[in-house]
Amino acid sequence: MKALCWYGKHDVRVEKVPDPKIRNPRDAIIKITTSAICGSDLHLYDGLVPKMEKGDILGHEFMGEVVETGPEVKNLKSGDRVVVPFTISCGQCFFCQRGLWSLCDNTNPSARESELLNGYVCAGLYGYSHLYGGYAGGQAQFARVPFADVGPIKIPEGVPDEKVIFLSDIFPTGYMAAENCDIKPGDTIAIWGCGPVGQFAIRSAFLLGAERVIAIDDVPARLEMAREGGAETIPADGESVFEQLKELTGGMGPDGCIDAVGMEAHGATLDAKVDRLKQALKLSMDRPAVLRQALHCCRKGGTVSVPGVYAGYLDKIPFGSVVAKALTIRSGQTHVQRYLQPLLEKIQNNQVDPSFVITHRLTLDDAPLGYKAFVAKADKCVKVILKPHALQQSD
Amino acid sequence: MVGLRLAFEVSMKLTAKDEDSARVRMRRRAPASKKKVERFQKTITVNRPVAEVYSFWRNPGNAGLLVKNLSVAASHSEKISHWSVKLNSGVLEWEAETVEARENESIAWRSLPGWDLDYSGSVSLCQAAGNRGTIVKFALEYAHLEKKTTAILGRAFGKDARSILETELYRFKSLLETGEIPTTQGQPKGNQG
Repeated sequence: MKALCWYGKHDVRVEKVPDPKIRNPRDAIIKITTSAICGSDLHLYDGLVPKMEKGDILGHEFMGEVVETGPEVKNLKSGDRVVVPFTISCGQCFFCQRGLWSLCDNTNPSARESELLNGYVCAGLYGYSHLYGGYAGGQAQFARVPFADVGPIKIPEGVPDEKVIFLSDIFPTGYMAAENCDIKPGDTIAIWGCGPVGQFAIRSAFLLGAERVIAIDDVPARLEMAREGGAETIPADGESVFEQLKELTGGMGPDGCIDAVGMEAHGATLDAKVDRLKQALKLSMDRPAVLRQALHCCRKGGTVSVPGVYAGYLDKIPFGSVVAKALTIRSGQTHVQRYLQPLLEKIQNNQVDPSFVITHRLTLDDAPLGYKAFVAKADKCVKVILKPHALQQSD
Repeated sequence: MVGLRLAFEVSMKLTAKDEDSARVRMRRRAPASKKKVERFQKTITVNRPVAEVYSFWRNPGNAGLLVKNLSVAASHSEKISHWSVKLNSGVLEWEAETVEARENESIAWRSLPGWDLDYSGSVSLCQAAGNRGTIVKFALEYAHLEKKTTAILGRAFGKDARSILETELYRFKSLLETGEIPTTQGQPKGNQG
């Protein structure tokens, strides 16, 4: 099969590799019909995530047709169409049984390395470094899906791929980010980052009852997409975001703040510039300029929700403000399995059509170009999906 | 002579107190004065009943489910097991004895003298609060391995002793909780050219 493989910073290549095989009784093999490039893939593309190896297959957002199942998979059969959650979960450990699917104890073959970094073992993820298990990802024509009896959700006939592919990650991620704000009637939610996760967080916040959503970004096309979702917008590179938010909320500040940017925050503020310099000098791992803003802007007693990915240690976080304002901080890799069925129902009930976020549709062979466009936000790029079995025009 | 005497004393301390096992075979063992004792201890909670966890540990043969190329067979006595690891260059072997087994509470074991590995260990079990399963406390004392043995184990498993032990505990937990051990072995990868 063909697959997109990582070879270093800004070096991804489509290569012929062996097809995946069943390895454990609860595995399934999926023929991938649609895959996607995630904003968090860009951290891998930029060489910022440790424990990557040359040749690793990327991609954690994918769906397709079941072509083979292991003997212990009783709920799926060949021909079933499924979306695969990016978190690999066993369903039987303490954490899975409590709906904390991304914290599964039993799906990370690199358990020891995970424990060394984080103190405890975190679940395996597709295509996201050997810290998270080193599983081959889904920017490929086929994928092996462990614990297939727990993860994938069957998709009914007649629902096109483009409407449901984002159940694999970014729709549940945006939804969980908004849910973590514990939204009450009358609440205003501020969201930094109008990339795909931010876009879904905007729509999810309204679904959960927010009165207002204020979105912050520095890309005009993304702010336009946010306004189409009902958000008011603030340019990130204009006047003080703190002052504008305070003014817009009657001096109180937003009730909930969502950092949907993560470790590669840009920004024109002094601290953002210092972050970039330190990272270039390898004096720090992550760039938390947006997290600092969210903590600063949130009203007293409010909640800061962090779906944005961070990989390691952060410098200069205003934790004094966290204590003084009695903030709640909630974060985590998404517990995707928790949201699959309820969000599929919202799609089927036409409460939301996730395909709005797609701006680019490419073949797998053109995936390296998709990465380039995504990281540069070129050509109004917001979300790239891939069709791994589509032929190139030259084929 | 001092070296030989220390080897004898350490051998007596690390092996059984009862007479049957107090055999001293010094011809294959390095002088004990040069050997340090390393200790490994780890506690994990397994989401399975105590009796099931005890039953798994009570059968030394189950270690073969956790460690590739390891096989464990009953030996000439119910208490003694024969361990062997297949290597490219041959086989690494040793014998071990179950010293004590208290049902659903604890098991203790030690290697028998005269082999390249010299260790004693135990696992103790108790019910975790809140229906969380079984708390497993695993402890192992082992004589610091000679370079030759470390190299052999490293080639066989690609890891040092502590890494091997930690990894096998995770694999034991996964096997009991899910029926499988997570793996990415044999999965597709780029050509790395």
